[in-house]
Amino acid sequence: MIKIIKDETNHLLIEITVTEANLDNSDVFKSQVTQLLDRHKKNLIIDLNTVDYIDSSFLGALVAILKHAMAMKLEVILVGLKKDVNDLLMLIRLDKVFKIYTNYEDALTQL
Amino acid sequence: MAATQFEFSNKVDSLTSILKQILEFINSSHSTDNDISALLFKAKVITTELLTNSIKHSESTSTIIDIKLDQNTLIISKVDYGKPLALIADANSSPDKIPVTNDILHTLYARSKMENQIQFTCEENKMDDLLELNDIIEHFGLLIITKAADEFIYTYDNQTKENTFIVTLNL
Repeated sequence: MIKIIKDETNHLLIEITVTEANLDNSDVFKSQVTQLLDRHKKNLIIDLNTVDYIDSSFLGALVAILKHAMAMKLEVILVGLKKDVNDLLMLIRLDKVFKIYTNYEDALTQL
Repeated sequence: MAATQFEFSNKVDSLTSILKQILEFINSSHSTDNDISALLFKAKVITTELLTNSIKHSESTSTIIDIKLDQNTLIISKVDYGKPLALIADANSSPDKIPVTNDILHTLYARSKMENQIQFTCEENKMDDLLELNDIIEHFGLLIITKAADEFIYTYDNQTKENTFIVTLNL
């Protein structure tokens, strides 16, 4: 479901390993990422480059993760969004609450 | 007018396949010269949420999705036999629109059009207090459909126990 790509001093870079991010995997995703935050206590960059399709359940999981991180005073940054995924976040204005960057290198400038 | 019907098995692993068939039908049936990529995106997210709703809430083994396309509109409708939306009772008893969800980003409303029929509408809110981020909703299905649609109407039939969701998109 997720793979840790980098474990740096102040952040983790993780990649989602599924192409369809939906209600079939949203609960597992939320649980795994929440545990990562609790264990590492680091800012989180989530790379969604493999995700072709995302539904409301998975968006709900992302928001729950953001709230969990905010309570720990940590950042959650999204990178590598395909057009439809980015357009869906913009449609429901989640681009106003998530920091979204094209790629990992751009995201690093914010940490 | 082009029209067809798709039967969905209410299983998440067949969602992508039926979604692809529906989008292919819309793409091959439209007669407008305009770029329809925005229409296809909206049809995709609306259909995804209608089908996801069936997986979560329908109590039958399949859902029928109807697609109708003419020169001016695309209509996506779905019938299932799950429990009626709980908010239909509140909407029935109020002459005004009632808030369904509310956070710093949006307020989603339901307004009764007639007995057991509601129309969803949505207003974008001013984000004047970032501390309220913690109150952001985590259930986006109805909001996604409402924002992507030009009109979104839900009807419950007491006799047949049918839930009908009709989503209209202007071309």
